[in-house]
Amino acid sequence: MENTPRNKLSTVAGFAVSFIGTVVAVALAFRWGIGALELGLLALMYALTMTGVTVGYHRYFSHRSFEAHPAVAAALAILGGMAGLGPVIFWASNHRVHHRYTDAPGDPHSPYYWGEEKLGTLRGLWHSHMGWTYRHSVPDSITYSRDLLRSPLFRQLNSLYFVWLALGLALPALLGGLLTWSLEGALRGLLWGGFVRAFVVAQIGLAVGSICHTLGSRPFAIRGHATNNVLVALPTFGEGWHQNHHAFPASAIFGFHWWQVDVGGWVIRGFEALGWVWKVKVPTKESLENRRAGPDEEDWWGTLPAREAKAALPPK
Amino acid sequence: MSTAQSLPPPSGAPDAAVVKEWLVGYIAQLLELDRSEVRTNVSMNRYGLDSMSAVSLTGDLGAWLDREVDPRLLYKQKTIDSLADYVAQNHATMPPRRKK
Repeated sequence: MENTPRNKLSTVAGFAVSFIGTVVAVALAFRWGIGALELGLLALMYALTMTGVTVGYHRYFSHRSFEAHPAVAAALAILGGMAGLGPVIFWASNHRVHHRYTDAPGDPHSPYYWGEEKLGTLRGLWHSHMGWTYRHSVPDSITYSRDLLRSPLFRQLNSLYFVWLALGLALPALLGGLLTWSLEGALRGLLWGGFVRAFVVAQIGLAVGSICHTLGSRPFAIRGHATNNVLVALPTFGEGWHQNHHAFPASAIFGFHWWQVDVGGWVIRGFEALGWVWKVKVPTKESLENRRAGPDEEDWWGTLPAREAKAALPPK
Repeated sequence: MSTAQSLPPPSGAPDAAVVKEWLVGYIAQLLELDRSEVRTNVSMNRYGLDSMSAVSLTGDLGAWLDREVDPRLLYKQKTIDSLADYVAQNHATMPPRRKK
């Protein structure tokens, strides 16, 4: 089913408001300067909401890659809701569709296909980065997220999305106001911790779907064209190890080598040490080896036509 | 279909009570609720059923009725009662189910 008018409006309004807010923030910075308050609130809200998205929306709700105390699950849904990327069951459903049809017809945000239509490079990048947020179909929660629908807590967290979104703006405004004991401080908090943060989080998060399906390395032989990209991995708290993730979607940890900095994974290990989460799933060494790409195999594992073409090659 | 029920498909136009029973059973089974917990006069949004569940719900309803049920129907018919009444009244205007 086509995306509802309400969803489309929310999406456009979200981008517009955060973009305009960012422009206003930057313009005012020429007058007021940018100080510790602005950068501090931006960093704090960025860290909280990015954690909500990667640890919460993605690793917990979409992939159930660890088990969590209900209070932790709720906190993650709330932090993720503050990010402004949509309600949690909506996001998880769309994401599960993406995994099912990765870079093939049916993928809601692939640079390669929109429905049955093959996309060229530039159009694909635009679609997978921004265009899809407006055009994608309504995800089917009964088929893809029955487990989430069955939890009364998760249903409630999902339905209160706009409350969390508003909280994501109110919180930095409140902090800015309290720390400076001024309305000007509240405005600065709202602008930098709210609008600039929302704009930046969205752009960087969306880069996982665009850049991490086009540019980067592919150490594994798997379906789809996901990549590992360190420049995306750092600001996304680990999401940029994206081929790792598509190879092992149930893994709570995205960094498979010590040098693959995965802040989201560190957060999960930290929560595990505190006893707040448990049953943290990671792949075995054997399964990592089994899925590794051979020297000639990079990019052969893509869409069905590529596999058929490979099968049609004469044996070596 | 894992949300299939034992309710037999109606022959001819169903009356609202039968459709209501189907919807209650569907939601109860989907959400692991007791049938008695499913209220028919409140918005199905209360059960987390919104535009995201429209395609599957109307698809499964259509399979039972052997009719095409437009998912966008749920924008207007938000409660089990109103949806059941609508189906009972407009059954004749619903196109037959497309074989997929």
